[in-house]
Amino acid sequence: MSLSSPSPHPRPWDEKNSFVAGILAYLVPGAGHLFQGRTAKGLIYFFSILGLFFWGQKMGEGMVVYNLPEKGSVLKYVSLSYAAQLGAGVSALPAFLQNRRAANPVNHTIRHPSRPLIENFEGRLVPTDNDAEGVLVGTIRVEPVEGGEFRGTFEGTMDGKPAKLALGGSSFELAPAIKAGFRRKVTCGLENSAAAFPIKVIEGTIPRPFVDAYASPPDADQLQEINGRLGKTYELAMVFTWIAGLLNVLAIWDCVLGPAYGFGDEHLKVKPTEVSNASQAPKTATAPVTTTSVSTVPPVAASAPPTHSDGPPPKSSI
Amino acid sequence: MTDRLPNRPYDATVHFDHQNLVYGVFSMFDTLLLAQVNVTWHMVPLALAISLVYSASRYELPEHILVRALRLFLQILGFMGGAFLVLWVLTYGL
Repeated sequence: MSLSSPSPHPRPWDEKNSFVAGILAYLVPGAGHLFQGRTAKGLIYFFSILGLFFWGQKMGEGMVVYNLPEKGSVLKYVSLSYAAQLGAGVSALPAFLQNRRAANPVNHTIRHPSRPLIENFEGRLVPTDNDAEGVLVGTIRVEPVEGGEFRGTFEGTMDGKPAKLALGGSSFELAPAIKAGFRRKVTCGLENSAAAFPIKVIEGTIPRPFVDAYASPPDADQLQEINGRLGKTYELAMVFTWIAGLLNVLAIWDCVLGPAYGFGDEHLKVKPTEVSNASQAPKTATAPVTTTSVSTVPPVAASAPPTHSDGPPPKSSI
Repeated sequence: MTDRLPNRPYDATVHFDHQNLVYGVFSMFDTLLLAQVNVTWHMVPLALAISLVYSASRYELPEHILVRALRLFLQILGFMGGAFLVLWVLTYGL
């Protein structure tokens, strides 16, 4: 145990099941301390560690926590980056599952829609020669037709003005459902544009559900794009999540074994061995009990008997 | 901005632009945060969180945790500031 001498304070980490507390502390930073009744420390851990972790997630636009093990690495099932993030507990654990889901052959780029799609769309009309271009915001409706083609509409605004575009043909591409990023890329050709070259298309994104986006692995293109766009902010986002995971190791240790140095007020108390030595001193001694450990505190505090002691109160030296 | 109605004198209270005010307040907040200016400012909350968690893992009493965390936080900031100064001096004139 980290505290070697009897303490005047209760030791809550010894009063509850350490195993349960440790598991809770791992799953949710601070939860183990709350389980033990150490509310202040629990809240410090909870807000500090999870605050760092989710701040990093936000800075990295949700593409920070993922598990892509490298071939030939010492760690076979986790990447080194994810190993550090894994300490943050249940916030990082989904990456294991998302990695498997993303690797499922069913999760691929869709080029022939098999069922209707109605989603909010943000993107642009790709400029072609002598054509208008603009920012599109609205709703996209796509449904499959025979022959592997599709048809649909876009209704909304282009550059802030109402616009309605007819979609159709065979030029359709929808990014995999399970992938990093909370927006899913989609490209649709305009109706009757197959004969034209280049094909007129709208390209943009539709929302990706949280359960499909959170902790999912990005592909190489996404990583390159976000590194180029965010630069060192993305690297700092990774660092935030790594440090959050590693800090939780300290929190788990504290939850199971108690604080490393003690309660923090030991310097105000007299050590029991020194008290027993003092009690054996001649009764005629009038000097207060002074030790090297208490010599720096004010005389009042030094001569006062230790408070909240677990053992019997020391005999007066007077 | 709302257009002024014809044949009506300008009234600042009517034409008060709440949208611009909200935008201005958020812009000021961003500037105050300085996080938009330099990514290095993200190090401050990072140092704070590290100080709090490290001190909490060393001591049990909240008041001691806070005092130690503040001391460690200032030490980290001082070290970073010193490193910044050294680098700034070394790069002077480059």
